[in-house]
Amino acid sequence: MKYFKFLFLVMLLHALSACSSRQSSKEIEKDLLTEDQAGIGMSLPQFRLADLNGDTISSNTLKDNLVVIHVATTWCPYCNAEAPNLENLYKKYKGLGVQVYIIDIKESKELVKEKLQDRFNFTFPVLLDSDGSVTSLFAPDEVLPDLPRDEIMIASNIIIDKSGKVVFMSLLDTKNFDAKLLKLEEKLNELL
Amino acid sequence: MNCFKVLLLACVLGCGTEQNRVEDKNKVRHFVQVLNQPLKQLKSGTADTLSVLIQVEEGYHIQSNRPNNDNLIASVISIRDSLPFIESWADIIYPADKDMLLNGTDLIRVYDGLVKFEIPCVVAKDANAGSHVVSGEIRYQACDHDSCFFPRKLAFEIAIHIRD
Repeated sequence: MKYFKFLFLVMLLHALSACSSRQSSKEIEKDLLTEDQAGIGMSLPQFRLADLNGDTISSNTLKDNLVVIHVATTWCPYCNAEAPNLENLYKKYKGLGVQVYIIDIKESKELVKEKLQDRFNFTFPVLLDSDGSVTSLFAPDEVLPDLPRDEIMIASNIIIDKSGKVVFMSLLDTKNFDAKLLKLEEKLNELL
Repeated sequence: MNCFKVLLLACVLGCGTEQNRVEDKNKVRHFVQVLNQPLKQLKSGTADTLSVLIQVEEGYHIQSNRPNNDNLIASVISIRDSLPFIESWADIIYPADKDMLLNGTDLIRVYDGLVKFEIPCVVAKDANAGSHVVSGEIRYQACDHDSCFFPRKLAFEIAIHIRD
């Protein structure tokens, strides 16, 4: 009898422990997504990436500036839809000190040059994150935890303020996808 | 003492759950599954068609084999290695695609649901009778209405039986 009680208690404790951690993780994820707060407040991670010209851009280069980062791949339909609007945004805001960068994930320099740079004629730097490791640093832990960290950042937009904090992060979903970058522009106007 | 044992066991089991979650995180989700099909019977020296059947997870789609934008990644079926029991392969027949409008993007051509690819071939006249396997892979890039995912490759095997 004692043995059964013991077994029952073990099973009960295990079930409770598994349920509570799963539930709390889901609750956090839901909260982050519904409140559009994912990633907000995090510090700009330390990184160094080369651009298409071979110049190195580091997190130090971005210091003390208002920076917009768009995470892209050449094959992503959302990124392609947003690309011309990103160039327009840069032209509109560069005089106000806003820097714009694309971070391309896991693609060759040649491909990115052909399919992104030559197609959309960006006048701002396109950085190459060849293994996705830098992009992963931006990914909030609790968002879509069953997917690789760099993968959840595809087509996201980030604004870093002058103090080096993330103040805007639109992870891609239908609620947030904004090809014309209206919400991002609204946030920039608020910060300027 | 019993109480201590219970707590210890619960901790050990709890850690196991956490370990499973870490492993889940490292798993690659494919969004596509290759479906098993009945053994395909072929006759040596004749033309026939093999097929690959995939199921795209509900709510997801993959780009078709003829995207209307050069930047998108087409679904492509390829057969691994040349096989002595197959004399020749003809062009793969890709199914009809569907137009889909993703939020804020142009129309894209996609496959979703159950998708069948057909692979015409001619069986070699001198093919050894018996069971063989044709293996290959499908390369595709999946999206849903929320997100797009890195391109993936999925291997498939077609079990065939050749008779004289």
